[in-house]
Amino acid sequence: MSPSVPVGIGYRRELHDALLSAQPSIVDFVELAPENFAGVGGAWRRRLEKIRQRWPVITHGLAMSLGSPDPLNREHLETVSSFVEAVGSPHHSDHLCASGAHGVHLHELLPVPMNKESAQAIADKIKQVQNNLGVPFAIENVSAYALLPDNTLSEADFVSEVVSRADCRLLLDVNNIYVNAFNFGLDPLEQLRRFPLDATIQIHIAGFDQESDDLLIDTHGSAVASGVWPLLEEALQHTGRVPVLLERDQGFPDNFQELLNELDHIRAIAGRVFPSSQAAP
Amino acid sequence: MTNPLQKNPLLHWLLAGANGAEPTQRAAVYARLVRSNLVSVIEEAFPVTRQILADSAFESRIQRFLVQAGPTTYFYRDIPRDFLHWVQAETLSYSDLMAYEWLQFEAARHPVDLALLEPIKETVIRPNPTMQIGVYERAVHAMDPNNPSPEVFAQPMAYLVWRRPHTDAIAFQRVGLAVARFLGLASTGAQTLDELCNVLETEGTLSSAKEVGPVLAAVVQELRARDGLL
Repeated sequence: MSPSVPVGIGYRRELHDALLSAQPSIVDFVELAPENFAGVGGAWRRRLEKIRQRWPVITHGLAMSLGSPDPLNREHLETVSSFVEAVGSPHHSDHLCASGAHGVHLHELLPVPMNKESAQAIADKIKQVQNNLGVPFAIENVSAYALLPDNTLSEADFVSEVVSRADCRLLLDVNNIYVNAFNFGLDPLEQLRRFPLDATIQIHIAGFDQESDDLLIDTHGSAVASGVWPLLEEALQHTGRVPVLLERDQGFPDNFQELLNELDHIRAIAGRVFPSSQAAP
Repeated sequence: MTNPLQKNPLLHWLLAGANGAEPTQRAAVYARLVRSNLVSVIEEAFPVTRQILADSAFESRIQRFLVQAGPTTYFYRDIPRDFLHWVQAETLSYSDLMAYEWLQFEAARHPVDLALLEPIKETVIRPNPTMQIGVYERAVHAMDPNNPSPEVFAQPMAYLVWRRPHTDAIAFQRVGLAVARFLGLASTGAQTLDELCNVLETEGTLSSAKEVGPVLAAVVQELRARDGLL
């Protein structure tokens, strides 16, 4: 039977052997970052080839830094575009964040001022990205630990502004919505419903670490928290059948079965939202 | 018109090394995450240097790098290269060892697909395209926490570092500067041993091609056996 939604996992080299030892049916696709594979050979290329032999690849970028005051980095954009084309990814995404300025790149997903002027500036950059990519482009909502003083929009409204002005798609990270709601004392379900869910092209789900009573950090280093699963179910009811990806970047369980169980949990939720009578052919 | 994305005090505070009053609540969380990301990728690239330097010394270097220069690459995997360039510009200790460690990374991930190399005539000298060459004044390959200051060579020596086909294993060989020049020349175009020797003699690198030719022939044989020449 066709799965109700494609379910995938983020590629990490720590997971490579376990993935290749498992049945191909454990996932429908693998997501990987062009920045980690483009232009490298040797063991990296061999790993990529083995993954591509088994599964379709969807690309997800790490460094576009759309919220930086600097212009887009042309070399980076061209490298990413070529890689996306080479692996046949159906779409590409990157984060709605700033990672640096004045030529320095900090490799962290930093918040951007959330107002209409910023939304327009970012949308202008996204249009440049879309002109270079041969596939749809999506922005991902990021986790946040601080709010900037010039914010005049909520996160959901800001994301909506950017998506609307750029005419791009949304990669909806439900874990990030949960983390931000917790960190800023908001209701996660209410926040989720205010996002432009009809623009969603893919969903991410992951685990976080609790650093203190009032702070969650989006580490992708633990199991998906119980409070995040309902967000996935709610999101799917609005987004329709979009691919769902499990991210685990550190804190890998000794037993790979734990990740397989999480993948099954995603399928179970998708199965509830899209019962078998509605399954895609 | 002012760029609205410039109005990001958290970003500018981090770029300035996270010194002074925090511009937002929890700004320090971001400072820690930035530093942690850098430490992680830099430590992985320079494992021997990391072992030799004390924790505080290594992390202090990274903090100074962040304040004085910072990564400019958009590729996380290349942050160590930016860091190495800064260390070399600052002439900090162990920059030779770090450069040697980075050569191994560069060889390991060189984009060429060795399985796709066209066959060539046996007489032609073709260095492994992944080969990296570094020149050092001491035995960097022997350095570790028990031997942080190895022998200093009478003359600087060249280290050849390359990736072997099939296994992706990294190999190295220490050679004199004339041999390094010989291989550098060979990498610019298909030439035979005799042709290369003649060029080296003409440019003055070799005193006599006739005398040194057999020595280079032996080096060629050894490198071929270990995939340094393909």
